[in-house]
Amino acid sequence: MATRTESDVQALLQQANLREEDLLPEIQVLHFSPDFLPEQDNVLLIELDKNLLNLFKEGQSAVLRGDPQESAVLCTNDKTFEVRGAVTSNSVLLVPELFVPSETEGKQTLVHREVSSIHHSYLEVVPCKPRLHKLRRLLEECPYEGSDENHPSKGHRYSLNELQDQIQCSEEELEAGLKSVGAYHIYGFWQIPKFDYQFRIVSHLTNLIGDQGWPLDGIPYEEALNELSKLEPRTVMAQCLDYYLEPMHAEREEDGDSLHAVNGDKVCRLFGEVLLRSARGMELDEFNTMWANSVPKGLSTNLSQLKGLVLLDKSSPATVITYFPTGELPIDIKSRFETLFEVQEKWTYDEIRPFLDDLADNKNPVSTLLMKHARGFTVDGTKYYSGRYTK
Amino acid sequence: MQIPVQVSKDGLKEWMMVELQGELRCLPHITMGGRLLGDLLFNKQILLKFSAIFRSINGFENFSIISVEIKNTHFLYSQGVPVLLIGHHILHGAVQDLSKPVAVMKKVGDREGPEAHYSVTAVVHKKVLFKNRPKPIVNAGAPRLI
Repeated sequence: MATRTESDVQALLQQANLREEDLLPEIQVLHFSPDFLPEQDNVLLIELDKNLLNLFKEGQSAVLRGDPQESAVLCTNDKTFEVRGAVTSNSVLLVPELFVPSETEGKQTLVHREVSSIHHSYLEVVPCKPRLHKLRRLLEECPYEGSDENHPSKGHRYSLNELQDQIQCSEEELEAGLKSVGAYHIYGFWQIPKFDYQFRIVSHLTNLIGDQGWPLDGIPYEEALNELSKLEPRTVMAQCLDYYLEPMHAEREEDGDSLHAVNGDKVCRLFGEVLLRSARGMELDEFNTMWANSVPKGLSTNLSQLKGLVLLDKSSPATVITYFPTGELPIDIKSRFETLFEVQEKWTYDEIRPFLDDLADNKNPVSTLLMKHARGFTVDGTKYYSGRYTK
Repeated sequence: MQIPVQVSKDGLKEWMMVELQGELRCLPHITMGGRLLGDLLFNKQILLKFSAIFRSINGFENFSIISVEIKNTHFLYSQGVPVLLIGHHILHGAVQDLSKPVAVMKKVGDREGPEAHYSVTAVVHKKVLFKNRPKPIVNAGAPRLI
């Protein structure tokens, strides 16, 4: 490789009719780097948004998550971004040392610059919802049924790191997701309690409240936990209390024990689910009476507590309520809609929303999903949605 | 699977890109490594810059008079128009800010290995864009490599 000299450049400038006085004095000669290969896939260009740029500027890290068959996501500590490949017909040359000259006068100089790679594609990042749909399925491989001595675990138990390997979201979103599916962190593993077990430990709690005669909004946390720990592992009971109780930010006068209130909606939902799971379908009136009688005294039941869990069939003279948990519906949007319109031909927005919430995100709210996958029509002033392709 | 994306130990550099329309081709038996691509120069460009104060006087009911007062007039060289000479071709371009900054990530370690990660070496905010087709330099001598 002959080094390019100033006279080489001068000669070319003359041929190109470029006058030296019209040019900024600094001229950059571009070479390919010595180890340059035209097809380099170990260097990637990725477009950043402000958050990610600041993150890297501060020297923090991010993580790419996803299996080869999934589209990758880029996660910060608390956010998830979908990574999309984009192609350009232009050639993008990375030239590390390149600069825009600022000197306007002076002697002409030559500097050599290396092109380190050429790109025809880059990655884009788009903020997205945490992809938590696999979470419940993984956790159900080994539900928690009680302390290990009595119930040796049969399936695979997942640690947080193992879940992060599989679930495409940030750590904070994963932890929030684990809370929302009601998973417990038990001796280093995250597990969902088996339904019967869950009901048993909540019954321990409601029984204790009844026995002690504590008001529903004045439960002494430490005392309750100490009592319940005699029955089940303390860590399990603590997380159960954290899920079903809410701090009142008040203390008991005699010993300063922190006072908590029962989250009525969560408790009623659980008790309702117990009834529904055992029956194929029930007349709504009958169910409502049974349900109201089953919950601890002082709590009031309300159908809205069962959102995303039940289906109301109003076609027969007496409305029938059936167990229909969202968690068991298909995750794929198209199949989800097919299933929904199979069990019920037309839905109002309020009826269908709980069964679609988990698929929606900022960019595709439930209304957009309905627009894309369902047909809207109005009867007597009420808007209904039905299947796009049915009949 | 999780692959960490970490800022390089040498810190985050500020790089630039050159974007060309189409593709750079080389004869098949020639390796591009170490070879000359071309010369990048910048034209001087005179930019008239003035600052003015616009004042509107609402003297009359139905129309307003606007007076313009020119405070200072400067003649400035702007950044300059980039010119790229490749072989006996000339391209005129522009320096552009990227709409979104672009990070350069380098794959490090074996794909499946425990050390596998991406190293973010640089961020690019600006590019020199040549979006027009190259024009031949008519009285150029014999064509040169690339």
